[in-house]
Amino acid sequence: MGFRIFLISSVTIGKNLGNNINNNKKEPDRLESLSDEMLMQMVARNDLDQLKHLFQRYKKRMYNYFLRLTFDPDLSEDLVQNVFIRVIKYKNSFNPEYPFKSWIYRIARNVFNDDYRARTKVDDHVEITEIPGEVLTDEKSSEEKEREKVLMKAIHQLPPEKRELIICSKFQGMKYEELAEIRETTVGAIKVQVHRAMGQLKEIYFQYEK
Amino acid sequence: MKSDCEKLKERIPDFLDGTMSEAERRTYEEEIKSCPEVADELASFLKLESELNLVEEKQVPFSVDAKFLRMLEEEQATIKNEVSVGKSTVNYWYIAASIALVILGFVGGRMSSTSSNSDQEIIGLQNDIKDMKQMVMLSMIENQSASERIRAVSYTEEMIEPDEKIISSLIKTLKTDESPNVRLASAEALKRFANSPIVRAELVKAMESQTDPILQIALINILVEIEEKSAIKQLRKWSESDEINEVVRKQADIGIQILI
Repeated sequence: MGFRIFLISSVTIGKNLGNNINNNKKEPDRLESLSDEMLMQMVARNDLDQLKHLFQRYKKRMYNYFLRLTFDPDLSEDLVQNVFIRVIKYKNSFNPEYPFKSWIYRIARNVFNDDYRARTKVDDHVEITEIPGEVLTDEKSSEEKEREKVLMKAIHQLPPEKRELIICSKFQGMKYEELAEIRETTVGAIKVQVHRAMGQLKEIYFQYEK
Repeated sequence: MKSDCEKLKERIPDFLDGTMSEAERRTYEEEIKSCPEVADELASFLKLESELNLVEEKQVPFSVDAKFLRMLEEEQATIKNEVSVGKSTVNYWYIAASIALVILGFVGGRMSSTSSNSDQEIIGLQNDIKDMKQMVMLSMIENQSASERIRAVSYTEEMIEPDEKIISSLIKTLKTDESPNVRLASAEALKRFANSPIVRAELVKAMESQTDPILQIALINILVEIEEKSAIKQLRKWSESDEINEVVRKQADIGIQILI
């Protein structure tokens, strides 16, 4: 327990040092350039302020991940919040030898799965009837928006596992290697899975388009 | 036997995910001309990909930030509470027990003693307590659990003038403990004894063996705070080495500027 006092005081020194320098010219926050893994190590040592940097780096990805998975903006906000609550809760299980990115996506996946399971238990019809306008790209003509709506409807028809693969690989630009690490499988297996998901999406999409 | 068209169809994923070279792609595009089915399939995949590419990320509503910051504040408050609770219960637990023992011995001693020289006994008692705390610290620092070792280090907080044994045990911990958390705690504890030239020299020396960037930053901060100019040499090494984390290098530069 005693060590927390030291850790907090070490951060205070850091801040003091920073302030001294900031007197003359404005120095960008030095911690912003730290790697995700180092910031998370600091969080694990109870320096929760560092989580702010990680939040800034990941909030957009996380929000969009849930938005495309659930098509529900309010629910997505809550799920983003749940991810960061879990990051704090499980901070000691973070292994800095592995990328923080895979770790947080693994948490996000579990957050979604837990929520999905809880909701399907109460109501096995979690499907939505209409894609809300809020989830569509802003800067688009109404014709383009209509097409995106069709695409989103098709994505929504996919089972959550496949939907998630499409979201990660196509919308969030994740590499097969990263996906393999998150799902604890091989790159080869991920490649096959993504292609299968794309195949299924293609069928649904072109049926809708007709 | 698979037909040529089937074989070509199997290679669609390679075409789509960019595993093929530019030359291979061109040959492939030529080959599928004889298999209209495959060409169609590829075309629809490409159309789908281009539709997917048009989708842009949405801005995060401000309420997400607000919720996060509120949650973080609550968590930080919880941690603060844990620290103060930890301090008042756990930290003093061992010491209280030791003191109780010493007092028992003292009272017992007085009752059986006929001597009236109580001042000396009180000094003796104070020394006993001091020895006891140091003994507890020295034995706990050998503990297997990192959190016990950190607790041992934290005992030195209450020692105004720890003896050489304590200081050398802190130095040893800073240099050799396997847990970065314990090393960090030792560095912080040693900072309090920075009026000792030995401690200052050891803090500078400790820089050489630390590879964890967080510890490196902590040491830089400590040495700058205690204005230890002999650290400049090692700071220069860090700031010029490619193997050192970029942030540490920057921090070392800042440290040099302040110390010079």
